[in-house]
Amino acid sequence: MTPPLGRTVAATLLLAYVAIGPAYRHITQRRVEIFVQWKMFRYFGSDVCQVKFSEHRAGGEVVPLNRYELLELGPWQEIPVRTRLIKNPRKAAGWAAPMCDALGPDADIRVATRCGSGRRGWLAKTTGDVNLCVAE
Amino acid sequence: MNPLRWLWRLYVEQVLCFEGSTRPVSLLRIAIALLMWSRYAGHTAHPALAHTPDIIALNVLFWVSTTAMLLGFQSRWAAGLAGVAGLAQFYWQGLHLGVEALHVHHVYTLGITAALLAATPCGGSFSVDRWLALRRAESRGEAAPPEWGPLWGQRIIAVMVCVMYLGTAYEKSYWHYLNGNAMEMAYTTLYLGSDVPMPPVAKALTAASSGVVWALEWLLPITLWFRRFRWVSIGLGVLMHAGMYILIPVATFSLTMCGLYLMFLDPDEVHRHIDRALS
Repeated sequence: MTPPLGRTVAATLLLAYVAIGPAYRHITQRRVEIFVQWKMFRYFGSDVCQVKFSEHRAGGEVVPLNRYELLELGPWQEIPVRTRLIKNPRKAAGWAAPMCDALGPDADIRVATRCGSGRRGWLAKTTGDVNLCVAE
Repeated sequence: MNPLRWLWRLYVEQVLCFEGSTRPVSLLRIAIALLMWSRYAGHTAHPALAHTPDIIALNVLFWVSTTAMLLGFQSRWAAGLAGVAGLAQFYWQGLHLGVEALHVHHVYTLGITAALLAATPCGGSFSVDRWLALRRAESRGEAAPPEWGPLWGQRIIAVMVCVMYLGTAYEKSYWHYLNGNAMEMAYTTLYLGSDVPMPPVAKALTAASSGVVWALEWLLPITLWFRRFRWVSIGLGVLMHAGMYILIPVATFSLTMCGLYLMFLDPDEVHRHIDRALS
């Protein structure tokens, strides 16, 4: 059983392209654009944070805050994704200003933030030890 | 036996000299043409969005080649040109011109599959080519030509699928994927938003499903080749891709992968099943 030479050459070249090309990029980590590296959703969700807003009351009581309710943004499922997502600690702190206004003078609002970082998982960014209602 | 000689013999027998019914590759030809339309229609390949000569030329090539590919007219040429158009959308528009929506794996997968189909007798069945061949044979008083041909291209597509799974499995081999954190980030972005923590049960399910996907992506490139495990593997693969299709925005990728499983089936068995279904 002897395959035609043209077929052998064409098949071997194509096989090398589809098999060795991606492996070469995976192993060497070199960026050769002609070869596609099969990395999917590697950075998906890495620019998103989880936040916990809380109100610190006199006497040490800590009450979790729901920013949607406090700012009357409407039911969760109707809020646009852009509003639901907080992408970094600075944006999280930015949400505190209208919340402080809503709670009135002497409010003490804090936010604990952890953000996605691709392969390193969730990373704590702020621990909620700063009163965001006090202008610095 | 010398292992290199054994490997070469396997390559010759199972790839270079592999022959069979043209039906699976023809079915994939139709599926890929429809998926390419589905991916690009109303998007970058829409005539209204083409403003420069290179994109207009690319769009003309795309529509003419994919139409011929779908109908099966000059099928190998059509598939090859559709592959060129698909890969140009990935490399030229996506990578060079910076259209992010086109520099994604599912665009590449469609383009490269179409291009590789040109190395198969993908017009041998369910095509205008087949109809013309039958008409020619009839007018000459000859027997109908068999739906049969060399299928080394089918094997190369199957190898590509395996490499794809191995690459994605390798990339998922880190702790924060396996413990569900990576998918929790995705679901936070897509569904929950920043304020709503994932419930513990959902978190456990996310970790478990991440582990299952990771394990399957390592296993499928092996089990898909063995007749004994093939149908179970395809069933689990389809379930996995269906889950991805529903939960995360993978566009045409899931359906493309399901179509690509045709490349692992015994072509003659597919032929017989279709005959039986149509009789």
